[in-house]
Amino acid sequence: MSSRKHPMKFTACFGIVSALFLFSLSPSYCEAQEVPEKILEIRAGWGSSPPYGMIELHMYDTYYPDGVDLTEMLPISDKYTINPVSLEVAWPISGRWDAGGRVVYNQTWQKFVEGSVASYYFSAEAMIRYNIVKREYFRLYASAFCGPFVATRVERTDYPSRQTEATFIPAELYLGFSGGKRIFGFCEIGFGTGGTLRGGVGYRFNNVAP
Amino acid sequence: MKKHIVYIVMSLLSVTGCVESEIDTEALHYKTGAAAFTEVENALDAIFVPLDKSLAIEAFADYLENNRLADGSNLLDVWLDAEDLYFPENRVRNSGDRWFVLSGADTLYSIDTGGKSLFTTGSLWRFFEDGIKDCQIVENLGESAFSYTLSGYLARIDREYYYNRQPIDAELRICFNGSGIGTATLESDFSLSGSLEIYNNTYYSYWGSNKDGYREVRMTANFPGSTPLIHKYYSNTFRIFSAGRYTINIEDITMDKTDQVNVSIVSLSSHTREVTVTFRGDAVVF
Repeated sequence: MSSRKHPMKFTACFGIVSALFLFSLSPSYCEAQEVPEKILEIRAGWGSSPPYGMIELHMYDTYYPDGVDLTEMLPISDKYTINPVSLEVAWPISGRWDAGGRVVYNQTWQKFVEGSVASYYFSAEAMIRYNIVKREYFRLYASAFCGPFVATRVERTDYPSRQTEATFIPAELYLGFSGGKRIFGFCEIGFGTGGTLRGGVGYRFNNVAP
Repeated sequence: MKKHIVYIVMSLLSVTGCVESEIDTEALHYKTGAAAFTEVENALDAIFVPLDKSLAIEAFADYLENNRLADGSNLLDVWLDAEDLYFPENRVRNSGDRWFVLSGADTLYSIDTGGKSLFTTGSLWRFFEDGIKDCQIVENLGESAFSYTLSGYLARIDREYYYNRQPIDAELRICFNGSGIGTATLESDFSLSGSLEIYNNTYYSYWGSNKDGYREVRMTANFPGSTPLIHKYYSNTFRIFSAGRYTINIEDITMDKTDQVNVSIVSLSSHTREVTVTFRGDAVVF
């Protein structure tokens, strides 16, 4: 792994902690909107523009060298990505706090004169969420994630290779809202492997006893 | 509930079906070929310092010889005039066959002439520069042709705002055209053949480099005698080699790969040229 420092990670981590702390103290944001049931929630999401470079993941970057480089390959197709897809599970742990986790998957591929390159990205992250507004049909929330991230780059060329890079992401932050009761849609903006702008649909099971 | 889950999965599949294209590949070429050509041209622009200084010492000695009186009474004045002419920012000292060029108390470089004029056929001059272990050799082959040998020479490769000292080895044959050889090689007309080797150990990236992030690359340019590089001096384009064909062999020591770049330079009218660089069958013309 690269030995370079991660100032962005520290900043993001500090920001998340500060934001959640301030939200928890602010009475204006915490007016009572109680949802008494303990509801298991699942979400399927799709995001765009994951900031892999900021989490020191290098293989996502398409490398076009300025200097002499015999590993250079000549692209003959665009680089495609499905963008990050995620599956998320959350469980209320108090009136406004939810805990849970998610898995995120992304894939890119591109053809070159010398062959093709595909990269696969997978993360499994723990989540804590604070519902700033929690009504029956609408929620505004901030989420924080952390967890391991693994990426694999497979080169199918005359010199086939497979490289794997793993890192731990200490902090990802999203601010989002959801609309709907049992089936709902959501939209989030933030920093993380799930993408910078993401959205999706979810389902709340209310058959769990409080 | 199953119905709802099916809806969720179908929704997910519908959005993930929108594959996104990230990079436009229109008109892309390999960059390595052009980069190798640029490195060789930058090196050619920087390697003639020892030869230029040798030519300047030759001119300096000629000036002394032609202007001092037989009794040596004006030697100091003539010497100072010659310094102003050929080494205006430095001082020149001589001891036997060896000439020293000084900056303050520091010797920048010295040249051992072997007691012969540079323009005498068979003469062999050795150029010693402070901080460089090996000497650089200029040998007169006769008929305005010189053998020019560089060993571990640290050329000052110009970047935009700084220079980079790059180790260069070379065995070149330089044939000056016409009788007027000045004190600056690149202000003369000449042809050049032989070989030039550039060694790089530059920071590359995390991927594809050694554990420190560096990649060792050696490039050897071979200028065949049959299609030598032709240099014509024009006041506004004096750095340009206007014709020639040569190959650049690239050896990536870190990645254990080798490849070759072919360069063809054709002289056009109005002191311009067309350069074709071919790498892995991909030709770039500029």
